[in-house]
Amino acid sequence: MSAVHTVQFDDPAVLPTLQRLTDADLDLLDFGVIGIDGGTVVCRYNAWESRMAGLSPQRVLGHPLFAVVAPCMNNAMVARRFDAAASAGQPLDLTIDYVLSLRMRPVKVKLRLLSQPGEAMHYVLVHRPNAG
Amino acid sequence: MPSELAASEALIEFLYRAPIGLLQARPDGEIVMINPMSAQLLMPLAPDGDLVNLFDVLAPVAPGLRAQVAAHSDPGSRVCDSLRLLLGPPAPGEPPQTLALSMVRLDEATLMCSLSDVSHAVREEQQRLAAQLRDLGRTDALTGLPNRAAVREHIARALDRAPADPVLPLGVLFINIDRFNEINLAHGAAVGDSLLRQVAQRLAAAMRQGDAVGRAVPPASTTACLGGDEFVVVLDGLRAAEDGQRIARRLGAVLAGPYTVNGLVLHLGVSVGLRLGGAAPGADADSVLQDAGIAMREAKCAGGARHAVFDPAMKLRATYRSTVEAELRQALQRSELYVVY
Repeated sequence: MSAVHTVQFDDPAVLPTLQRLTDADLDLLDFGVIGIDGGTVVCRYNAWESRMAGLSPQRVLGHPLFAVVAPCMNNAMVARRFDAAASAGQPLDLTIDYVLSLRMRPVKVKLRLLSQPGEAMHYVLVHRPNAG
Repeated sequence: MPSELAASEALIEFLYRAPIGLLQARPDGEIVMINPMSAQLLMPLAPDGDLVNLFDVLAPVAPGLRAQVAAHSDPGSRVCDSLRLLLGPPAPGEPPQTLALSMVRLDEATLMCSLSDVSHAVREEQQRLAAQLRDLGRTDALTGLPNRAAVREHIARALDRAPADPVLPLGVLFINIDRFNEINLAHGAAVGDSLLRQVAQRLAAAMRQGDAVGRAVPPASTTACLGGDEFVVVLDGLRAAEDGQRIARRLGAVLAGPYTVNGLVLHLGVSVGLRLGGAAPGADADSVLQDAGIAMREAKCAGGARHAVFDPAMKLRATYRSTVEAELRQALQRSELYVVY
């Protein structure tokens, strides 16, 4: 049993933990993890998210998240919050209710948007209440 | 198997990335399939994230949709085509959003919908309509020339600029067709209207010619129709009074040429009043037009087919004539006139 299993979607200090975990560790988590670089290109995509979305990581990694992979997040609620935080040089840690089309089914989820000035990787976490 | 998986993923990826909303629902509105673009477009209508029933989600903007679907039970029937859905008040600083919904009943258990954001197209359409309405309100319906409202604005703008303008800034030509009523009475209103259109075309064409006054840079001009047989040409940026008079003579000659209407050959003369000068104290667009009109009346009283340049004495004479006329009418009513031998 590794420390990975203790990482929760709503952990206050989840961001430094994610930065530390390997990709294999991320695959053990029971919530979705999408890591993007400063240009919003997807660099990390864990197994939970891949399973829920029905897309293997190689179809997603290397593509801009908001422009190509998930245009449904390219709006004021998600993408522009990352932009605003980056412009202001402010950290971002915000959880919002959202609806994603997972395998083309409308699914209510909670999104957690995480960004820290100076960090190379920013994260969108996806939690599906009442689901594994 | 791997190739099947790849094909399935490619299909899902295609649906994820489609730049148009696609949605499948049951006839009772329950959403069965929805792609991300649909979810994104419908989110403003479902702030709590309940994208369960399409009719419930769209109830605020399309309350009749459920009944509309019920009325289209035949497979293949089109329930709606580009139905415009104006979403609620936009967030501060955001433009209003309009969606277009198209829906087809595939079979008795399936509705297929497409959704797209047409906000930009709607805004462009509204701007175009507003521009058309604005133009309609500023255009003479018969001749297509700018109307009185438009020419008043033009003169007002020129007067505003006048104090800073080092040249003789403004010339206003007030043109009236001599004996136009007789043409109307003799040949009918349709002939009169056709004649007015031809006059308007000649005026506009003459003022478009750059050598109107033999100068490399002619004054900017606006030709307008005040209604009936009255036209106005505004010359903005005149350098000399003589330029205005030369244009008046030139227009008189251009408009005097024969006209052919329904096989009839008609000749006419025009009386032209010319008001020169800038922003005299108290002058506004209406008083400038009035002055030019008074000069035109002087030209007509002198026999027509000529032009007259406004001077303030004309206004005094016009005021005097008007006063005398009013007093004479009053005297007649009161039987105050009598003959003295």
